[in-house]
This record gives sequence, C-alpha cells and structure tokens, in this order.
Amino acid sequence: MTVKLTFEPMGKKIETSSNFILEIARDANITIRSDCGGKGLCGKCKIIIINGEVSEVNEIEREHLTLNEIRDGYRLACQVKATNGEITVFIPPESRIETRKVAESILETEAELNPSIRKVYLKLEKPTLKDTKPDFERLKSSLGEIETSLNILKRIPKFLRDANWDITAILSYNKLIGVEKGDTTDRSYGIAIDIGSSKIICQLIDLVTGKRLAEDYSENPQVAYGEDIISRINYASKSDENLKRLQKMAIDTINKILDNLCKEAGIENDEIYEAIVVGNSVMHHLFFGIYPGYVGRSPFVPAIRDMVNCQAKELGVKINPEGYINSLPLIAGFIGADALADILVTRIHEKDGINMLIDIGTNTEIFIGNKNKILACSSPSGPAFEGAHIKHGMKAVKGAIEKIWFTKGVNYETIGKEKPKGICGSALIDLVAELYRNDIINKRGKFTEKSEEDHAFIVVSADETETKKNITVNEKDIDNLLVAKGAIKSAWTILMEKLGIEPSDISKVYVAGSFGRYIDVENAKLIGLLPDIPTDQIIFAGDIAVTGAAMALKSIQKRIESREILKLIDYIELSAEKDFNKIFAKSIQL
Amino acid sequence: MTSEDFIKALVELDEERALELTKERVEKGEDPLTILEDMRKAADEIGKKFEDGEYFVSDLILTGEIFNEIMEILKPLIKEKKVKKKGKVVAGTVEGDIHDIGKNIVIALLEAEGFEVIDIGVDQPPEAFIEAIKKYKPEVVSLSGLLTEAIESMKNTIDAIREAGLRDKVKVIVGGGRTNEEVKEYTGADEWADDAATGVRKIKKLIGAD
Repeated sequence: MTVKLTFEPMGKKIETSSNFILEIARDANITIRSDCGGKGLCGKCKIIIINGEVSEVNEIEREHLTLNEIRDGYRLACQVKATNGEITVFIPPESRIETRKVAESILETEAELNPSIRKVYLKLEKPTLKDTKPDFERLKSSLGEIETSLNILKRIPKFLRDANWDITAILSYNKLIGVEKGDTTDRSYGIAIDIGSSKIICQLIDLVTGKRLAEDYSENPQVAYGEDIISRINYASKSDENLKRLQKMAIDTINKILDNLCKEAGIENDEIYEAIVVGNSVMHHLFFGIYPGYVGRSPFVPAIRDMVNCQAKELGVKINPEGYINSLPLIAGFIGADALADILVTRIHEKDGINMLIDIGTNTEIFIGNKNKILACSSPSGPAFEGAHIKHGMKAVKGAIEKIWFTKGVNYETIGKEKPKGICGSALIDLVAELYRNDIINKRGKFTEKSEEDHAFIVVSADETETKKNITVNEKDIDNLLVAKGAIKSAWTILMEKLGIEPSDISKVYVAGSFGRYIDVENAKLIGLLPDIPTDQIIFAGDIAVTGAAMALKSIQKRIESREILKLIDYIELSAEKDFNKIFAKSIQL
Repeated sequence: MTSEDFIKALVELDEERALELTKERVEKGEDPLTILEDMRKAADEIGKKFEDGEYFVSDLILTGEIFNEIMEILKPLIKEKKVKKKGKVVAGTVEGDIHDIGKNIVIALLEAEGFEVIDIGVDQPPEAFIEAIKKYKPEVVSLSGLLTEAIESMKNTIDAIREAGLRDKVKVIVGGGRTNEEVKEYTGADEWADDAATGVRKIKKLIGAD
C-alpha cells in the first residue's frame, strides 16, 4: 500500500509504503524525539494526525496519552502506522529535535605545534640521460627515507612532469600521502572531531599557525535510534546493515559539517590531510563500523584501546582520501577517547593537587586524582538531566526553561527568550534546589504539603506556555532526578573513599560537557550533584573534548602523552563495589 | 504501641527511628519473629504505596537498605530459633549483566517476610543457576537483569534449566526494567516484574504463600 505523508510544520512530503510513522520519518531524515528508540516506553514521540488513514490507538498509546490528547489527534509516532492514502502529520514543538547549544570552552590550552602532517616544498632536478634516478627515488633524495602507497605512486610520474618538478610533498610521519603543485607549505589543515551521543562537533585547525579557523556542530542523527547508547548498541548489534546505517549517519553528518567549515574558511576538503576523532567507546565503535555488542554487556570489553588509524577513503570521510583518520585511545568500558581528551585539556594528570573531572551525561564519567594516580568510573546516571523521564522535561534547545529562581514567586528564563515548551536539566536542578530551600519538598523529594493538585508543582501556567498546557513537576519527576543525582554522587563518593580523601581535599572540580556550562553551582552543590567545595574552585570547562582532539592534532607529543595518561588511570567498576548499594541509597536524598 | 510505631517508621522510611526501635525491641527481649512479622506488614504497605504511585524508585531503594540493616540485627537471633522457612528462592543477575539493585531490594523484602533466599550474585551463567537449583532445591528461581541483552541471557538460562530436566521442579520469574508479558512468553518464564514491589508479590504467589 502506498502512502503519501506530509510532515508539518516543515512541509516535507514523502511517498512510501505502509509503515510506522517514526520509521518513515527516520528514513526521510525527519527527526522526531524518541528517547527510547521507538520501543513505546518513553511516550516522547507524540505527533498529531491532522488527517488520513492510520492504525487504531493501541494500549501503549493509551498508557502515554491523555484522553484529551487522543481526542485532539495525538498519537505516538512509534506506534501509529500510516496505512493508506494521504496523511498529514504535525510534529508538535515538544517532539521536535532542534540543535542544542555548544558550550564554548574557556580552557584554551596551547599545545606545541608539531603535527604528524608535514609539508615540504621541493624544486627537483629534471631527470636527464646522465641522471636516470626514478621518480620516487628522486623524491627520496630530498625527503630522506620515506615510503608511499601504490595509489600515490601511480599519480607521481605524470604529476611531477605536469608540475614542472616544482611541488609540495605531503607526509604523514614518513609516508608520502600526496603531492601538490607549487609551494603550498603555508596551507596545511586538520580537523578535530568529537562524536558525542547527542551532538557532533568539528573544529578546522590551521596546522601552520595552530589557529582554529572554524567550528561547527550538528545534532547526532543517531538519536533517532535511541537517546542512550545502550539503545544504539542494541540496534547496531542486530545486523550488519543496522551497524552500517548508524556509521553512515555519523559520517554523513561529519561530512556536512566539513563542507560548511571548508566553505567558511575558503579551503578545499582535499587540503585536509588528517582528522583526530574522539568519542565514548560506543560512538567510537559505531564511527569505525566495529561491532559494539560486547562493549554493552558485562564484562564490557571494547575491541581496542589503542589509537585506531585508517585512511579517510576507508571510511568515506570527506577530507583528502589519502589522508588519515586517527582516534585517541579509549580508557575502559564506556569511558572513551572523549574523556581522555578532557584530561589532556584540564591537565589533571600533571598536577600535584587532587582534582576532579566530571562530564555529566546519560553516562557520567568521573575522574579524581593527580600526577601519580587517577581513579576513573562511569556512572549510568540516565537521561533525566537531559529531560527524559520527566513529564515536562526537554533538552537544552530553544524554548526550554534553562533557569529558575524563586523571588516573589517563580521566575524563569528560556533559551532563545521564547515561550516555554518544557524544562531542561539545568532548570530542573534549580527547581529542586529552590523547592527544598523553601521547604516545599523534604529531603526525600516529597511535597511537605499535599495540597498541590495531583502532587504537582506548577512552574508555568498554561497561558504563558507555547504548548498551552501547564508546565509542572510532580513527585515522580523529582524522584527520577534525585535517583540520577544519586548515581552521580555515589560515584564520586566511592572514588573519594577509595583515595581516602574528603571533598575538602579536592583543589579543583572541572565540569566538562555542554550540560555543565549552564548549571547554577550553588544549586548543584545544594542538591549534592557536585561536592561542596568553594564555588571559585569549580570550573565549567565546556565542550573540551574537541579541544583535546585539536591538541592531539597539532602535536604528536600529545598523542604520546595520551598513552602515558592511560597508565595512570585505574578504572573502578562501581557495581562491583561492596558498599555500592548502601552509598547509592544514601546519595539519593537531599 | 512499639509495634505500631515501628511499622509507621518503616513505612515512612524513617531509617533512624526504625533502627532505634528495632534495637529497643531486641533489648527488651521481644521475639524476633514478631518484629519480622511487623516488617512484613510494612513491606506490604510500602509495596501498595508504590503500586498506587505514591512511592517511587528511590523509596524502594531506601526500603531495601533499611530492611537490610534491620535484618543484620535480626538474622543472628532468628538463626538460634531454627524457624521453619516459608519457602526458598534462588536469585541472581543473569550472564552479561551486573545490575543488582532491584534484585537486592527483592531479597531484602523476601527475607524480611521469612523466606530463605540464596543470592548467587551478578553476571551468573546458566550453569550457576542449575547448580544452585540442584543444591538448594528452591521453589522459585528469580532471574534479574536491566540490559536488553539480559533478556537473551534469561532465555538461555531457562532453556538450560529445561535441558537439565529441572524446569518442572521450579517456578521461574524474570525481573528488570525491560521485562514485560512478551518477555515472559519469549523466555519461557512463569512470571515477570519490572519493579521490586511487584516482584515480591509475584514470587509469593508462585510459592503459594500469598
């Protein structure tokens, strides 16, 4: 059966065979929020059927939709099937995925410029009957002991003559990977890539000056297959085709960003000869097309720890096809190259004092230590801070309330100063802190007075919101947030116990990742998300993983250093800790 | 009076008060089984509050902790009494998964209710479950796991129990956030539970102690 769908408000038309609407949207690259990956668990993929023939409302939908919503045509995209004819679907604001903010890093660390890509300008002597040295050996006599590939060798003879022996050789370490006409030694570029589970960030770096020329980012489209990495592992593990699809999604997105960056900087994609990629272990495996199934199950073993090195043409990344793609090493379990990049930037591995580095996300990575030893752990804090499992929760995108404070009533600020659609993580922290501070909830997150309607606290009333519905939080929302906080607090508590230190022994806390940038320190400390140390010792580092990748791009030493850091790190598997459950239970409370 | 206060403290999850009252009652020489009976009543009420949407995940986690602490005090006293157990359960997290918070809450509550629970730990292969069934002859085997991958392991474990000729000797329940009726059918289990309170209720039903 053929169906013709129109997706509003973007007005995109699709003709396809009968299928679930979420599936159709995914195939057409229309992103509908789907935190659980389309399993009917989260109820976040709400859409409105304006007209057309679709399947009947099922049990799962009844569970997630109110009677009013069903009457208004609301459905769950993962459950409703487009059956026949022409159908118009409206994606309401709360179900749209819009690109979130990137947190500008405030820690710009200069690495010594020593990239693995070298450009050498050569004016070679033409061969003569008296000098019949072959072309490659002629290059060698100027460049020293080098090697090359058959591909380059095939190009050299004609190229050298066309260029009248006036060329620039491009070397990766001691391998000849390209030749360009004339002197191009002042044009050498590399790309740093951070593949986050929710967004992909790229920086274009000038390898002659060490300067950052341009930066851009995009939502990681893999979110259509699940907000959390576990859902993506499950999807990718099902078939080679699925794995390839997720890999392609990441690479296509990177290529799109690359095109923008090159355009902005006025260079050609082919002038980029190297990329350094970082990401957590699952993003890393998916990018390289490595089966991620074993990372997802105990004992959580990745395919490789060391740097992966391959040519751009093997992956289809749109830099020079002969150029190289390198990843930084992975640490352990889910803790990947992005975390290693964070360490490179914050330099906690060089310091005498004990520092803490925390990257809050669906999986929260925590490191505590100094130049002698660093303990690391990953805590499955879940997506509550991203607004998932919270009734009116949403990501930090336009229209999200990002800040809340109580002075003479409830005050709030939204991203983009728009009408509020929901609440994002930073404001949820503010809200819980303010509710507790004002004795509206107790330390277990329960309302002290049960007069609130439906056990819910109204943050914004319907007349002020984009959705024309009250934005509220109830006890269950608060509970989900406290459990997520408990997972994080118990993680740093256990690391500190293992090191035999107290929060007061910590000299600095670095909060990495875009989430951290917008949270209120006092509130984060009050709810126990961050250890209680003086506010000026808590540093919001922003999205520094891409900065770390750029450092490794600019300097071979940083790559060697990243291997050295690995030796300092002791990975702690939290769930294997004897007292974990006890500490977790205690860490949940306010 | 103490009995009511004690139940109230438990239901309100007032850890300090509950422990204080436990110690008080033990010092007075009260029969630990009476205290246990009160815990059972409290557990019932907490389970009901959870199912009614009044209590949430964090409350169950805390319940598990408080019950564990009280059981640490009561266990040595109960042992002396050699009481007849209401039933025996073997519980463990299946191979490839290490999540055990739900499992531990279920165990704490079952023990409080007078069941004997053999906890074989996390990431346990089918053989470990079979060995435990042969050794302890439980009425119920409880397979836990949170990861989706765990569903496959649950199926493998139940298949292995069947192949070992033990399937008709035990009832099997699968538990974890991703279990449902479909998973029950797929794995060949007798019951399923996606939260600890339901798990306890269904295990009691399987044993016939309800």
